[in-house]
Amino acid sequence: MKLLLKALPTLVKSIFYQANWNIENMQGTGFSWLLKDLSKRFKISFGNVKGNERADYFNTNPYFVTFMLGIFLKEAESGKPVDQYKSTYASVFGALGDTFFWHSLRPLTFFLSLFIAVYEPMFAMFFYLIFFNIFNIGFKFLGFYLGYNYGTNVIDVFRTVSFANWSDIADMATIFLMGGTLAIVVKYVSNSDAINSIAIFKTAIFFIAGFTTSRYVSAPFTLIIGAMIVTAIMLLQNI
Amino acid sequence: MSLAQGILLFFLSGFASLDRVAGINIMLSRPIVITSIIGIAFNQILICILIGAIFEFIGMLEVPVGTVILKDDTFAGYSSSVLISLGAISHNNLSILLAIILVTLMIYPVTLTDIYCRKLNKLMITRAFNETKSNTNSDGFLIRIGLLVSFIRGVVVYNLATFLIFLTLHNIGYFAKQEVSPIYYLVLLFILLMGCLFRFLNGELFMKLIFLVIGFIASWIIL
Repeated sequence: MKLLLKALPTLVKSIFYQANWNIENMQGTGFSWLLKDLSKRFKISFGNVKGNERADYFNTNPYFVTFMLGIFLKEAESGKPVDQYKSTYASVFGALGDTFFWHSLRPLTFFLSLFIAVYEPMFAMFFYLIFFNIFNIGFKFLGFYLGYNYGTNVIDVFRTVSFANWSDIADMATIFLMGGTLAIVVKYVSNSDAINSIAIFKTAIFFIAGFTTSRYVSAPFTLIIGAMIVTAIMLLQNI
Repeated sequence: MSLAQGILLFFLSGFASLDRVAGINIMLSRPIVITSIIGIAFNQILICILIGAIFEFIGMLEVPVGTVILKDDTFAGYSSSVLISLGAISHNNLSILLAIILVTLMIYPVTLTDIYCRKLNKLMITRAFNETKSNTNSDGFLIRIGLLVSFIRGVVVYNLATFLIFLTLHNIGYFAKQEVSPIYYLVLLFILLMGCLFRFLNGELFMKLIFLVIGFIASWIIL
């Protein structure tokens, strides 16, 4: 707790560290900025953190950067050279974070919010923000704590909790909720609680069309093509 | 539009761009969130959430890995809900579908400004590196500039692009020709994009189908 309180300003600052994201050193400027801040607070040197490391490449998932800070602090305190971990751990955390946060948590949060929107649209947004940010803030604080306590062995923690499977579990939960959403949509399209084969057929056609076109066309163009088809259907119905 | 609503849009566009590009990352920039906020402010919550849900799929179907710059779905959510809230596309099926097409096309030039922001960041870091090799305190300055650039980008680009779409819709003359709810047509688009996401998610196709059907049946019975 004392450790987290001491590092709190740096952890808060970490939400802005991507501000200089660029194709040259990616998040390098921000990471160097955080390290300097941490160095000042813990009165510790991170080896070659001087001035020219701004040009150093650094890229990881933004929700995992505090793990890196924790590892750096731990290793620097034990007098080990820290820079050798930078690219390896950044890549590992990048892959883990991108898969979980961007690929899986966003769709899961979205469909959970959608279910809430069916009953109370106003709460859906609040739920989205709260649910997602429980993981966001949790990973920020827990990440620093675990990174500091386990150092370079922090990867074992991910293995222990089977973190690599979280994404698959979240995806299956999303698909389950997707099925639930389709049921709500069918009820809306058929305007009744009774099973309406025409509504199910329409829903299935659009769903399969989306599934098929996404293999060949990007999402924005699928949307444009879909909008054109729906416009044509609407015009035909009006004739 | 009242002054308070205008101020809200000003700050919302800025902070959404900032949340997306430069930091914070609390998901204020997600289309479903930004459209809900605008929907609440303009009392158009239901249709705003629905159109936000449609553009949410564009973001969900991409993962920001490495140097990949994602298509700006934040702009799409912001722009479409502002257009709805200003009455440009609220009661007209043709205009809402046309607006979706225009907003989706406009995502590309808006995303280009994101790329230019990154290039500007690169320019600044190169300049700072060349000028201050011995000075270690310019990181904080670069971070603050990055935040400011992202905020300004949101305010200027999002609102300018929305205004252009507004003008296009207005000139084409699709305003309030048919007093029919557009929700049904949005639902059809929503199903189409769910099909895309279904392919995108992890897992064996057979397992995914089983979970989809179980979810469908459970929801049908319970809700």
